[in-house]
Amino acid sequence: MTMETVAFYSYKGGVGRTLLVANTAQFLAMSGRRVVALDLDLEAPGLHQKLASRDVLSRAESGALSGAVDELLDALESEPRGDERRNRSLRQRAIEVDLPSGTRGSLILIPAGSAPSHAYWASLERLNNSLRAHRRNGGLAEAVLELQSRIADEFAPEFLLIDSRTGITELGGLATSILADRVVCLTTTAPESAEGTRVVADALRTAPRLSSQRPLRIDFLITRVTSGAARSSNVSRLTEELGGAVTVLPHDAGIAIEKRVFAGWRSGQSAGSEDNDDAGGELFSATLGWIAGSFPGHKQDAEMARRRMVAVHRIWKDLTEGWKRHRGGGASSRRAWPAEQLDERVRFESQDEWRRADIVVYDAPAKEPTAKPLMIIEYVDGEDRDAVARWWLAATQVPVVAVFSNDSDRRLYSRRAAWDSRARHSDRWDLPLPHDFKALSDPTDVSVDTLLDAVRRGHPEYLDRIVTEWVNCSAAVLAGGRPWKPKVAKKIIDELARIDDNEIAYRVLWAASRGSLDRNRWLGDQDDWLDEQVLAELFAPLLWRLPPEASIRLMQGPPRPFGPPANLVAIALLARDVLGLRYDPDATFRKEGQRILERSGRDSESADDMAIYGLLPAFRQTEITFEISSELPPLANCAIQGEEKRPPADINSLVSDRIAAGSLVTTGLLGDYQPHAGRVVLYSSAITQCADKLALRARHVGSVTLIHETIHALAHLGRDLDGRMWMEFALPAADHPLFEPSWFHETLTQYFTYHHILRLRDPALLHAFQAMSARQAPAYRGWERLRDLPIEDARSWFMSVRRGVGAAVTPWHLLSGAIRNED
Amino acid sequence: MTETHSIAFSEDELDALVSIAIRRAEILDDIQSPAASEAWQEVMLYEERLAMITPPAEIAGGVARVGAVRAALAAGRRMEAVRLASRYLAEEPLPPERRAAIERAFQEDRDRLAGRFPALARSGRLAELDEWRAIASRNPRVFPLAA
Repeated sequence: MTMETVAFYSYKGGVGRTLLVANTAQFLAMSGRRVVALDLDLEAPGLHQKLASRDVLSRAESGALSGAVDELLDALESEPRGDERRNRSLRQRAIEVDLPSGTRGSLILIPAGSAPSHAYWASLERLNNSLRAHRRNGGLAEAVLELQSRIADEFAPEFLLIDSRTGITELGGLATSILADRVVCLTTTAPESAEGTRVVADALRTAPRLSSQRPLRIDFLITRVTSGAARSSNVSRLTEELGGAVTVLPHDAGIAIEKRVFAGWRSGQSAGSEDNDDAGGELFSATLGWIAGSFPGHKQDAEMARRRMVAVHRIWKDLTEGWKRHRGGGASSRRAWPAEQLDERVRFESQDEWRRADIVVYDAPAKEPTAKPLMIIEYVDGEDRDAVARWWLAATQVPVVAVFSNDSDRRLYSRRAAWDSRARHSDRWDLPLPHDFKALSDPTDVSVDTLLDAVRRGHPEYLDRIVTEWVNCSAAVLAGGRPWKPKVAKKIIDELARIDDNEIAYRVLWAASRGSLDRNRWLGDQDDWLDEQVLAELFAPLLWRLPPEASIRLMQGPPRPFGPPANLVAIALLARDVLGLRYDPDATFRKEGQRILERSGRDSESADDMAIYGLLPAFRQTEITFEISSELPPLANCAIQGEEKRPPADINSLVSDRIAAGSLVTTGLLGDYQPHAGRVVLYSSAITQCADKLALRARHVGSVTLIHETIHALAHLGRDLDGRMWMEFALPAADHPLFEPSWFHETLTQYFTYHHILRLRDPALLHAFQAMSARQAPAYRGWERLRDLPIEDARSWFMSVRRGVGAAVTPWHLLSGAIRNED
Repeated sequence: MTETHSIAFSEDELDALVSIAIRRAEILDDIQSPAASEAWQEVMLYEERLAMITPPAEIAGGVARVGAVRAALAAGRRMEAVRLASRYLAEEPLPPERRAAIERAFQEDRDRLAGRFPALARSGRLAELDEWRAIASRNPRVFPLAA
């Protein structure tokens, strides 16, 4: 079989020529062809950077790599007889490029030399001097033809791919004329590149051929064509001017700065633009398409090579591209693998067997000698994947092995499986990321229990995955869909609600809030109803069950421009589902504002616009705000005033005394709702003391207080289904010297608090509520007599009282005990 | 190349110059000086000038023509050698022994190159290279010009 020599040429640099040579060489070799890649870009060599292993690159850095320059020097300088340099095999300078296991083809790289070491520049200068001074011994033409002939003799390749010099140079000219059977000319649409390419192409078309050469074929590639410009007049005109076979390749900003073949084909993440993702994929597909079309061979082999390259490309992208920032999770919560910790095509040996991993992930930069492999990834076609995984686990002791046969068929195996002769793969599908190796004893185990345990141990990066698992377990619909696992779903909520750490609890709430970006990654483009379900059935319960420090921190967060914040939705759900009210301060503002404007008789639309924003401050208090205060609660301040400025008993004594006397109150001591400001306050010192005295946990006392005071706020600011509000239906101010708990407000609020806690199905909260209630003032215990009252009846009564007709319908018989106690 | 020269030399002057130049080039060759190639190029220029003013049928003319081609090959200027040879061989009066000398010069060069570039010689493309140069020398648009 004769060798076809293909020279890749560009008039200007920076068009992706060397990368295309490398990719073409790899593709052809993986398609079963014998390929030699020769770097004749002697002034700026780089092909070895794309194709060679890290060992070879180290040799190049140290000046110990020899290549084409040395070969040319030997041919020109050595004596025809008796010089041992004449007998040196080219194989000593050739590098066999690692190809995937099972590849029938071969790829030999002949680099330019030890570029970019000083030793290389010295050799290059010697070559130039030799060519000038000893021309009688033969010129560059003879030397490169000799090299080409030796390549044909020693390797008998089917393809010799040459990375040739840019511009107008003797070496570039030789490579594209007397060496080449085919020239691939790359150009951009930039005028200087396009015009130079056109002139050179015209010269090549008219150049004489050696009598043994085939007619020259010229292919053109217009590269770095930005999205949308492929059909522009510039590209069309250039295509016409160049003539012949012209292919357009899209632009990828990352391609120029990447160092390695696979990396070069992934998207330009490091260029800083997320938009590159599509361009990277497009370039990848277009390049593969061009190679497959330009070098037709065995279709099945080519298709297998293409599938493999696509799959490995996607795996590389998966591993190295960071997920979008996880809200509340910190910038590094979903950190991807740094590219320097990855290597591709690494050969491992065990006794008399060897395999080549497509990608190896190390625990440190791969070039460090102490780096240990964490994960082996191999594309396997036509072999027993379990057996392949068993070999890897036994031969390398690597913690994780991923074996895949295409992008949608991956299997993960762990060391744990190594003890099982059947080497079953894990249920995990996605590839482990760095944090998996830190947080999980088995990075392939992503069961709910394991993930929950990891979160409790301080790894909130799993929260999105857990939320996704919750969705998968609970998003059953009448039409079918996902498998319904309500027990698992409840376990997830209960376990998350047990989290004590305020920071992690805060992240839990973020992960469960609307539109968490990372959750979208797991669920894909999700429907709004999923978001609504997550909010109503996961986020809202957790908001009330998690430590109030975390919940209030979330509720204090900055307003978001799109849609109501999650906490507002949770409060509105409490208003609707428990009190039978609507709570939407924005809607209230719009509705009331419109009514005010209509009454004002304005007829100018622009004046309306200005006027309605003038009303904003007046409506701000309808939006409930939350805070945790370390100040003394109002009842402690009342004590100061009532006792004529004498120092009050400290808060500990105040709470202790009230508990002992059975006169503990929530409003005014543990918390407060301030109607004039629409503010809910929790008093941390009183809550801590109360919890201590009642042998409860402060977070549970705080949550009960938070729910209680929020219900007060909703009873005041919520609208009934007719849209009416009763702003005067407010609690008496707790900081008034004559403050007494309103038995009516507190009885109803306690009733609704109890029912809300029942709905939350949180035994710890229920226990805290009952323990507190047992030591509270009579006004706080009236709910016990209403315990069995249907919630619809309680709402009706509550509405009647708000309207001022409560006495007529109040179930007095149920409250009589409480009233008597109060009296 | 020599057509642009404005100074006219006599045959005697050129004979003297070429003798000195050949001697110098041989010495530089002998000591393997990097300047040898340029020295042979100088010889080529004088011989070419001599060939311009001496008829091909005369001894001096024939020697100058063969000398010009040999000097070009010694200088490693193979494209020039091919260009000169094709011009001289096209001259009808050039005696057969001079034609043979020119052919022999190329053969000797090929033999020397074959020893240095054995794989190329085995491929048969060494001879093709001269043909290629002959065509390329007639086409100034060939890329690369330097080859």
